[in-house]
Amino acid sequence: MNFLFYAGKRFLQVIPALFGISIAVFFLVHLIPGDPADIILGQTATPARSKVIHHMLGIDRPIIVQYFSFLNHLFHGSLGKSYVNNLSVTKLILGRLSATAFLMCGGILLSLLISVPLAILAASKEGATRDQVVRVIPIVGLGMPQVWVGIELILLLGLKVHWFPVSGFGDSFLQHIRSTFLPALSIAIGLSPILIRSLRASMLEILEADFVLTAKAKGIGKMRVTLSHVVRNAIIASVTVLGVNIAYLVGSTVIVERVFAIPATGSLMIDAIATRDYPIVQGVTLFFAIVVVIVNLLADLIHAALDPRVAL
Amino acid sequence: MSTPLLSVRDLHVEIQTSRGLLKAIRGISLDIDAGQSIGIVGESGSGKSITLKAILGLLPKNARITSGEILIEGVSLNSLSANKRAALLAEKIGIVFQDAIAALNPVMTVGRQIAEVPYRRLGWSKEKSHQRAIELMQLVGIPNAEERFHVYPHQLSGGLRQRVAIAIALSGNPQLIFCDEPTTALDVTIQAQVLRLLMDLRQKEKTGVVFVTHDLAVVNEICDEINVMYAGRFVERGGVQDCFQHPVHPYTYSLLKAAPDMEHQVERLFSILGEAPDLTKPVSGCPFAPRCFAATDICLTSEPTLQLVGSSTSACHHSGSFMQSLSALDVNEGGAGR
Amino acid sequence: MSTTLIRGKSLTGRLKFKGNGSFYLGIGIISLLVIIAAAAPLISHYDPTGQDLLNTLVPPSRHHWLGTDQLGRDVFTRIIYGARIDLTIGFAAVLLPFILGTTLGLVSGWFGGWFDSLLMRIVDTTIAFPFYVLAIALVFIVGPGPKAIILAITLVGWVAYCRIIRAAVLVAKELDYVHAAKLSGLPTARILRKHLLPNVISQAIIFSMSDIVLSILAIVSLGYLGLGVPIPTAEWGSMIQEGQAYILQQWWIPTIPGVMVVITGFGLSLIGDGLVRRLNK
Repeated sequence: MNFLFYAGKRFLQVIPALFGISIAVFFLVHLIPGDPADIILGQTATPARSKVIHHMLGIDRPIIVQYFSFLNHLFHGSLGKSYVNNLSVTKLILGRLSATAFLMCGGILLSLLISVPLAILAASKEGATRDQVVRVIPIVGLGMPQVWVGIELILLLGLKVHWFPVSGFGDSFLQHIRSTFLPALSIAIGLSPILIRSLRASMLEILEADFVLTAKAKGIGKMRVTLSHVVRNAIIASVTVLGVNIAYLVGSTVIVERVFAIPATGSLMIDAIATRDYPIVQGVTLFFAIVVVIVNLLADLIHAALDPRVAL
Repeated sequence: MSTPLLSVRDLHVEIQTSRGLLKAIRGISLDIDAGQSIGIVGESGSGKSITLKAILGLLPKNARITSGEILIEGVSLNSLSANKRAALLAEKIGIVFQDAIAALNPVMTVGRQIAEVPYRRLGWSKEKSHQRAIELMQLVGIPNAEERFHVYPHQLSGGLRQRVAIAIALSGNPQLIFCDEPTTALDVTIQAQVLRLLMDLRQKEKTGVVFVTHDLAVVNEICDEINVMYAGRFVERGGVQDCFQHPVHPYTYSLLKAAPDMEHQVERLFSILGEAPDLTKPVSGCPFAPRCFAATDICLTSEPTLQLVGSSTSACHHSGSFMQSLSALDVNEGGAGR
Repeated sequence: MSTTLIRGKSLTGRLKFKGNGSFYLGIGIISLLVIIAAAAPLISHYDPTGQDLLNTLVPPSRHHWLGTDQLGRDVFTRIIYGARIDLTIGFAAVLLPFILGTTLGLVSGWFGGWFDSLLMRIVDTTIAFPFYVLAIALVFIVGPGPKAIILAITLVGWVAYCRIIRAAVLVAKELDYVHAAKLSGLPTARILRKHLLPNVISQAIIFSMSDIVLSILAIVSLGYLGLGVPIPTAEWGSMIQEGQAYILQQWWIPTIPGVMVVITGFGLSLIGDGLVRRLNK
């Protein structure tokens, strides 16, 4: 019960941030020079026709009114219509949602799978060879562009040996997984140096804490000390670290999907730039910002569920 | 002569630091029988905490025992496998750390932490262990034990937390409890309560105590014997009353002078000038010599060893005549300590 | 008589991994890169954008150390000219966030109050924006090229400095020497500048090292997407993108620019780590 209250409270706290985001996105995109009427009408633009378009799009109203209209539409689930093909932006985004979801989830999963074991490995014997080796990873890995990692993975795992497809999203669920594996791996490799560094530091803190000494002094065996005392604290620390870096991960999907030609939300946005289709740019930006906020909220709630020190 | 419960012979511990290899303990020997109450005092950096950790095999990663033997009831720990060693130590000795908030697992209820030894090591059933935990909580004076079982460490006050730590230390029915500055983080009233608890336990359960601290007043209250540590070695050892009234090592003497005596309101504070020596460098002569009021030439070249002086042991070239005369003088003035 | 309880390798030397040596190695690497970039025209006589359609995709040879790309341009030349773009923008892009973030963090941490609360709200809103999404949106607004990148990095990047400095200030302002300065009646600006700033700035400097790496990654990634520096100009990101099609046969064309980024990141990380170690002494 307490937890539900806490979840509700946190959700309410998120709302001002969401408002702030909507303001930021709206005004950001409306600062663009250029007239949408020109895009839509193209060669056939005349002042009279432009005026009609302006009225149709509602951009002849004062900007505050436009903002509230925008908000109003938001509440009704509408993000406007593409200038180019008049399709609902929401529909367009939803169409790409599945691909983006695969990339994000795959990225998070693989990041954890790579970083957590390495961090634990390093922290368990500080100063030993394996620790030194793991500590080198962030130093070398931090500078690895994800697009470059993606390309090398394409070369090694897609072209030299044909384990994974090198482009496209596929049709079945299984094909989706195969197609998004390499991109997710690229994202994970890009994020891991940062995660490993933070996770290792957190693990060290835990392993050197007095309560672990107390547990060891109980004579209950190393395995039990690890299971009962270290693991849960380690998970809590991991969730915190991941939460902090989630924005970066989400942004990475946008880049990486281009390397692998996966039709996800990022491509939608990038293509919209060429055609000056700003409802799409606005919609996608908003979408991503909201995703980050939601994922952060989830991380927060998971943390609260696991850590009794969080006041519910 | 019966075998002591715990016997430490010539222990040496080294720590790797950024400044070099630190010889934290340079030859310590100690015999403890069940039911005894021993104090180990010294400044920070003297090696007193490390001693406890070394004995229990809880040294940090950058430290290790380089030589020496530890025997439990005559059995050398060297001859045992790591698991057997840990089990034997856990069976005989419990430990209470200084800062209970750091020494308790923040994500486990206190009850479960206290019940852990019976449940996991002694193989008791869950119900029995739960019951035992409640008993222990009552023994250490935690009110509402049944409710408090399900509470988390951060929800308790400092004093209660420390009692939980003591309950955990007692949970395996040890014959000896190590206390690493258990009252330093507490305020004076709580400190008094915890000390009283330890003394009660000693009487009722006959558990011995090894008390590591820098607070002489505490040692005075709770210990029978005292070992004064300096620069990784014992410099004076003996009965607490003897030591406090007739210190035979200049360091002990200086400590007692420096500690304001609550009862007799000693006005002047004899502060010990200088700092503890850097143990990454080899020790030549007596390590206390630079700060010692009684130092002479021989003190700079030869490190003294522990020798019997009256009823105490002391490592000083001048323990005999000079210190005894000094102590005798002080007795007339009202005593160096109490 | 005396036996060793714990068998194990000697502890000496084990904790000496990455002594000061690595710090200087980092400085060396970056200096070398900067020199090569600056001296590019002296090192190579080729024009980085000069095409030679009779000699496309030539493998590495004496004339072309790294071969030529699909338009006959000398790859090696493009790499070292690319260093100019990426390194310059990378370093420059961090300057504004550093200054802006540090100043705001200083003021916010010192004065607290409504300003601090408001600023933290803005911080919360800002960090919700995934950097690349924002950068792309900005490219949309101001057009491709270094302007958008620097703007994006500034808009999002100041937050990290602000938080770091603010946290350091909150700690530092309780220290004795700061209280002393306050009591002696010094004007606030002076206290902030002379007493507080020098002691908190080290954190920001350390962070800026990894921030530079991140901004170079941003330029390279945006360059890959075609949203960075316009195409004919040699830039590592666009080189990776153009080279992707040839990955199988001429794998070095897209690979080497990436390796350059890794090396740059490596050098900067070593410097950052070295600074951390020095400042913790």
